[in-house]
Amino acid sequence: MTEGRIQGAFQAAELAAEAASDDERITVTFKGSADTRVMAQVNELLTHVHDRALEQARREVVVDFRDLEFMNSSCFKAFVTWIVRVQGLAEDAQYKIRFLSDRGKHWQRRSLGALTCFAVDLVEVDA
Amino acid sequence: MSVDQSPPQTVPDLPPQVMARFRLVSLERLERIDAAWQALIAGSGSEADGETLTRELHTLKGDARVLGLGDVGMLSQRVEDLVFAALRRRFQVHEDVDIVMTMAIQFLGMLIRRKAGMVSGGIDLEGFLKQVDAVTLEWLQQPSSIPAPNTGGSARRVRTVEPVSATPDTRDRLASLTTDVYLEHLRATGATRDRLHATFAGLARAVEELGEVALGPVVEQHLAAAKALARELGKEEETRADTGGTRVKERVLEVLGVALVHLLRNAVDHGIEAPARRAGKGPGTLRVAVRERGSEVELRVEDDGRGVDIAGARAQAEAIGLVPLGATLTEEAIVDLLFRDGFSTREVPTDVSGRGVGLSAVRAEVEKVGGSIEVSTRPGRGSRFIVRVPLASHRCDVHVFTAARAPIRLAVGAEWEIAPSVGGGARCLTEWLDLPARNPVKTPVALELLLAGDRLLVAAADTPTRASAVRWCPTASSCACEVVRVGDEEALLVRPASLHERAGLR
Repeated sequence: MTEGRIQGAFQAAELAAEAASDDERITVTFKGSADTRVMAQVNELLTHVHDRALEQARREVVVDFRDLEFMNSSCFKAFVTWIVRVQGLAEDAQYKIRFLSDRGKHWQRRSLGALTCFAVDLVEVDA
Repeated sequence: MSVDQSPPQTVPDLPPQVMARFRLVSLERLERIDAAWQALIAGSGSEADGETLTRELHTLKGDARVLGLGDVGMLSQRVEDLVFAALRRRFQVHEDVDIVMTMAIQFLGMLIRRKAGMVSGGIDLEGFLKQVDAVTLEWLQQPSSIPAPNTGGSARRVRTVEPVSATPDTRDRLASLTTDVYLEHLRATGATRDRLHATFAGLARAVEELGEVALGPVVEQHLAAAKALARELGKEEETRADTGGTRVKERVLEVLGVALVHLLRNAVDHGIEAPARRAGKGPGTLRVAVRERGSEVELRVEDDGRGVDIAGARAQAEAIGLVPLGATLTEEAIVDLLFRDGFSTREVPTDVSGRGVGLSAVRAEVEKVGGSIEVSTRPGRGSRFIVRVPLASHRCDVHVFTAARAPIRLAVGAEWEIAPSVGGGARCLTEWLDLPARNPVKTPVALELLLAGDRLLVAAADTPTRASAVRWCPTASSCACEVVRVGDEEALLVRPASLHERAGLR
């Protein structure tokens, strides 16, 4: 199976998150607001996404933040951990992470700008 | 903000043991920094968390400078600026600040984990620093009444560290096997006995060295960093080191490392004067001496600079309300103020010192391991700091006596209560250790050993005496015995509780 929903999708507190893959990429979508209450689920979802990306040898994972109103630092840590994990892979196993963002949201500009610096060759931010 | 703008470089090729230790200690520091930060911004932190945060960061920055890790030093400096800004606002921080601080801690972890020779591929430190600056600037321009966010506790990360030379488990196993060699020597006779003893002694030394680090190169490295700092500050300085080949355990090294970082930075920044003010004195001199003295290691850091400005320190303490105006204070009490958290004789901090963190960090670290620090100062002649740190696990108190069945000196820990016994059934400890009988005494002394419900009847050749023993080849407390030295003679320290379990006796 190369397409379909990825395990770990959830709707809890004020956040809805889901992930699906097609022939080319995996897309993870976040809607609402993410705080400490959903930290564990965000971590788990990103772990599933990472495992699936490796299994299916995807070259790109798209993370859609456009409908994400806010994410706190605890949840953001999960993204840092994920990026560092991808960075630690052999070069041919690495995949790109592209964030779709809303430039109108100040916190996204700030946070994603800083996140990109962890791995400029792996992380992109589209406004 | 005053920051070194030199570009990040590859990790310098330092001795692997030094780098490994730096990684281990610094990653632990980062965990403490992270936990303290999370507690403080969640509103559940204490004053001690604030102190931990500033001390650990300051020490990390100092360590990084000493090791020439410019990128870690640079980012630590930015984080320190952010923390002091947060401190001034009682940790009422905006979410942006929390996110960037959290990321900065992770970024530091990533930089610290890099191995020697690795380049900063893919990492954009300069870009990250700009982000930190932008967030800090934006935050400081906002009114300070932003409510503190309640972001909850922080998730503990799994720490990935590399072993320094051998893990504690490995050392314990090797020490136990080395002790077995000693027992074999006690079972053997003639030349074999001597050879086995020599083998034991060699192994014991090797086991000891596994957990030890030579201080010489470490001190040299700190002095080189101090010299470089002096050059940056436009000062001339000569350095002298005398470590006498001292080797110390890693924990002791860690404490001495913290002391060296802060004492040398203070000496260079506060003590040694600029050349124009050293009329007739020539270049400044920094001396570091280390000696093992009994059960302690003593570190002396001396400079021939201006000495502590007693009047200035007093005025500063009065100005910030640390002491009442006009209070009667001895010179010693004023000098002691230098170790107070947040106290500095410098009115405006620089990126080198002046935030009142360094000396307080040294004292906290030294006292944590039961050590002490003292300072003596002479105006215009310089200051001398003496740090004393106990050599952990170096000595133990014991009862020592001779075995009843062989001329072997035995010892048990002083925590055991020993009383003469009138009943029968006493056995010599050497029996449990399968040591052969040689020249047994005809009328042994029966002893009762008591400790928290454990009771053992032991036959001895003489009455026990209390003594302080040097642990020659320390073994884990679960190991039945260990070789110690009492004065000039060697003795076998037996742990009756472990022996009991081993022999299935209760």
